[in-house]
Amino acid sequence: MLFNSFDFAIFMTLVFVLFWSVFAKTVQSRNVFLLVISYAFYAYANWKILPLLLVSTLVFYWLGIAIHRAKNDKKKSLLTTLGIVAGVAVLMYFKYTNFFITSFKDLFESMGMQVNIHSFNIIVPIGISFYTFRLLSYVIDINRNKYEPTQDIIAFSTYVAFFPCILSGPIDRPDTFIPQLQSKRSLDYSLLVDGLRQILWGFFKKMVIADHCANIVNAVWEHHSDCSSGTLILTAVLYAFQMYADFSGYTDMAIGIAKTLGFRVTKNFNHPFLAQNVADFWRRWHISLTSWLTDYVFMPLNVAWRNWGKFGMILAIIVDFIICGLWHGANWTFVLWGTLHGLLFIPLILSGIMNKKQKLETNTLGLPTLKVFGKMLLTFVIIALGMIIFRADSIHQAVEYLSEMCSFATIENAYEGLNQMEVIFSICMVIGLMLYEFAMEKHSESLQTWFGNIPGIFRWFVYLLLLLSIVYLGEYGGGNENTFIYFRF
Amino acid sequence: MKPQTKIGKRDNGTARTRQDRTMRSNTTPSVQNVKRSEKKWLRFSLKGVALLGAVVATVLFTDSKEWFVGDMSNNHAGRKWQSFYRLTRNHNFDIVVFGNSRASAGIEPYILSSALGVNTFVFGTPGGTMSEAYCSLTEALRLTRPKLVIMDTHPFYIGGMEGSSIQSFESKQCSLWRKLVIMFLMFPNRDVWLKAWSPTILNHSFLFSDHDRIKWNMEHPIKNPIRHKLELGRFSHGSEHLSDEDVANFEPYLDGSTIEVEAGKRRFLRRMAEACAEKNIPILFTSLPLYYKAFSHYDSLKALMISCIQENCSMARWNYMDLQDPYDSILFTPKAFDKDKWHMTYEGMVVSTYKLANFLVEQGYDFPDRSNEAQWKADFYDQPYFAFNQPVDSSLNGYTMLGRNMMINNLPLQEVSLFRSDNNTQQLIVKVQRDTDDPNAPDDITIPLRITENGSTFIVPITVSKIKECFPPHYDVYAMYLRGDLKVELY
Repeated sequence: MLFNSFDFAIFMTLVFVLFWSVFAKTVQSRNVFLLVISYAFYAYANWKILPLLLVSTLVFYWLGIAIHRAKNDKKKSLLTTLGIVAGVAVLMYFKYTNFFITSFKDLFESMGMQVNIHSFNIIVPIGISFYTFRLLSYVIDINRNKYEPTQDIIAFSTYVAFFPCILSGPIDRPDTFIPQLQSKRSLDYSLLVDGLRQILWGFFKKMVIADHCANIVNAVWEHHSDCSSGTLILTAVLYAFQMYADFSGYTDMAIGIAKTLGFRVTKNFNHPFLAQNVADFWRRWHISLTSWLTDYVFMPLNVAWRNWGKFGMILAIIVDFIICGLWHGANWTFVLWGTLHGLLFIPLILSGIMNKKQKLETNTLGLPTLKVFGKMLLTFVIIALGMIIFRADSIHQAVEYLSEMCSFATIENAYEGLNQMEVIFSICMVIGLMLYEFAMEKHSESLQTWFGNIPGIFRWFVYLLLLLSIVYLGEYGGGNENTFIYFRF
Repeated sequence: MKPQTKIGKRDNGTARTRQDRTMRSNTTPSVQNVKRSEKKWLRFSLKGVALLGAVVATVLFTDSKEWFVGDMSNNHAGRKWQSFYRLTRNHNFDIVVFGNSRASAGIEPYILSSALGVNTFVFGTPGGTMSEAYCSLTEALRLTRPKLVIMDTHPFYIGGMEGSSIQSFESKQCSLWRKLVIMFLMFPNRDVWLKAWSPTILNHSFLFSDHDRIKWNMEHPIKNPIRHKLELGRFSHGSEHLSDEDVANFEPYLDGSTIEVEAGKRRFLRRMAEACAEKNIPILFTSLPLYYKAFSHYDSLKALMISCIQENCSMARWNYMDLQDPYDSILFTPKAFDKDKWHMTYEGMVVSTYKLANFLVEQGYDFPDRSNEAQWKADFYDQPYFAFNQPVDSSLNGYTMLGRNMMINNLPLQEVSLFRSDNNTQQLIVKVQRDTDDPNAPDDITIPLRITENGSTFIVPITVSKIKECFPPHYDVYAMYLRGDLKVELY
């Protein structure tokens, strides 16, 4: 069920009314209700994938308790390892079996050997990457004595299956979310209003910005051999913003929906295109995934290889980003994309600025200084180039696109299927989005205070404009063509 | 000591002070907080309703102005329903046809009407689905009492187009409740509902893709003028037929052995049969032809069609006419099929219609004979093929009767007439009664004519060729063109 669909609008309205009027009276009834509707939401896509979620939840619930009760560290580690292996194995089976089969087949065929193996007809359960990571962080943190396992299976199951976040995150940690499930909540006016505002902004980003960029990007990618370098460069830029607006738009909706139900979910984006280097970018982009990988992949590897000094750190970050790439999908393009990002950390590690927070220095006009702007632009270019590999169906296609983009050759019978108005509109939206992001980065608190203090009629006029923009300028329909990008992961 | 600020009177008449007010508010803080909170929620709810109301009002405004209405010249469903609602004020339709574009491009209502002396309306909607056909049937039955419902079988196994279903839905002028029911039936995908109701929601992308259309809509209050006094729902694909190269390279694209009929479509088929059975109206299912090379394993598909009909239409009186098998390769030549390989050309449409007319007569369907009604004649006399289908009389402009019901050269001539469209040419039309024992009429016949030219009279045997695509029930039509300056009589 897509957030931008008629079915979800009806679903959410009913859930909100029932939640606050009937089920929120006690913690238990509220959690049971949330659990039931979360499972209903998940099963709506395909009921056949629900049993896997149920079984995974039960197994990890039991594992958490078993790890906590284990008499010695050896048994604890064994159980934790069992949990990690089980979780990763299930994820790998569903997401990567056919990938490995196809890769092996291609490898043998490239060596001249015919291999008679076929791919399996495996349905990849939607959201598996996200809820598996939630489950893994639970058992690992219990093993690290970060907290005790919950005895409340309903609360735990709801944490895993919480419907605003199950399909595409954010990947909340158990210690931030489960306590919220175990405490009484009342309908908070300011949280509700904030949530609705965030939902509105999320819809705007998705339907007005991301989907229009998507129309251009998809058309150009289908005919990239017939497009000029300028068009390909513009498309690369638009794809980066499409990705951002789509994913952050979804996240805003998810966070906003959680807020309307009284829950606070972790922030997932922090103006990533204002980053001044790749490390800064990853501190701002898909924050929940980056922090998960940092805590559970990078840090343990970094500690294990600490005797190798900076080389150990470099190796750890490369492995970390290869896993990040693989997490996104079963294709060598994702592996290459992840590896490249890992390699981009090398100069930052060697110069010692990887963990250094970048200041957004501005000049007297309030705009970024030339140096800062240069760093932001360079970082954006690197990210956008990487996203070309991310977007491509194969490494070969990515190389084709990049070489066509850099050729600056004259194209005869160039592709002319782009809607010029849509291109101009998308560019304007992207510029507007960047200006808004910069203003929020620099003056977030004062802007929010100012917006909260202006007369209500002007505030509601802004909301009206946003809604009318969505209605008149948004791309909608709920079909596959408007699916959120990160649903695929 | 400063006197306390007076702000009103106590109940006992003494003045109240701010201290009193503070004391009073301190005694019931929770009550006041609750009241403040309730007011806050109420204000918020009202603002939310007002916001949504403003959005809805804006959309309704642009809908009422029809700024986002699509190109109505291409809105076949809109045009035909507009015509149907207008015509049913003083017409009853005897035959109604449902299906998709293959029905609207496969059955010529003017020819069927004049060949049988009835009123025909074709509801076939381009991209139409079974649900659309069912909803159109129930709406049609609300306003007219047909003697026969014809349903083409193509939508049984071919998907539809959302846009066409929306056009069909938009075009229906019925009560709100009925429209809601139609919406539930026609659009299982609920994301289409808002689009179906609002042209603004459906076509808001015109702001990017077709702002000329918005501009045109703003300048033209009437979007869909009535084009034809007797719009009966056909849509001819013209005459760009399959070329020799198309035929040589034609590959089958429909494999009858793999085609399935979904459960949802079977449900609507059953509903159609029930609706007809309720009003005791027979249904005729047709398989209008594709070029014979289009199919592989057609026999499997035919068996599937028949079994679907048998399973789901047992409560109704039904019949089945298959123009695909046996395939008439003499009449369904490549010229009968459009280059797009899905539809028939006008020639193909004419052939199908005459075959249908003959089938209906052979099967003994009971239709009213409207050929003597003044209204019916006024409606159809100037339509294509009317003079071929109906007796020539003085009401037909340009026609001269030469003879009726005679034998010449052992030919039973039903009618011989002349049609003069201008001074340069005249068309000799001969209707020869068909021998039921030997329906294969000759391609040419010879009849003697007395021709006067510049005062000189000659007896001339004229060879007249059969119009292959035109074969009304009971007779065949032959014609040839003569010079307009000749005076022609039968010898």
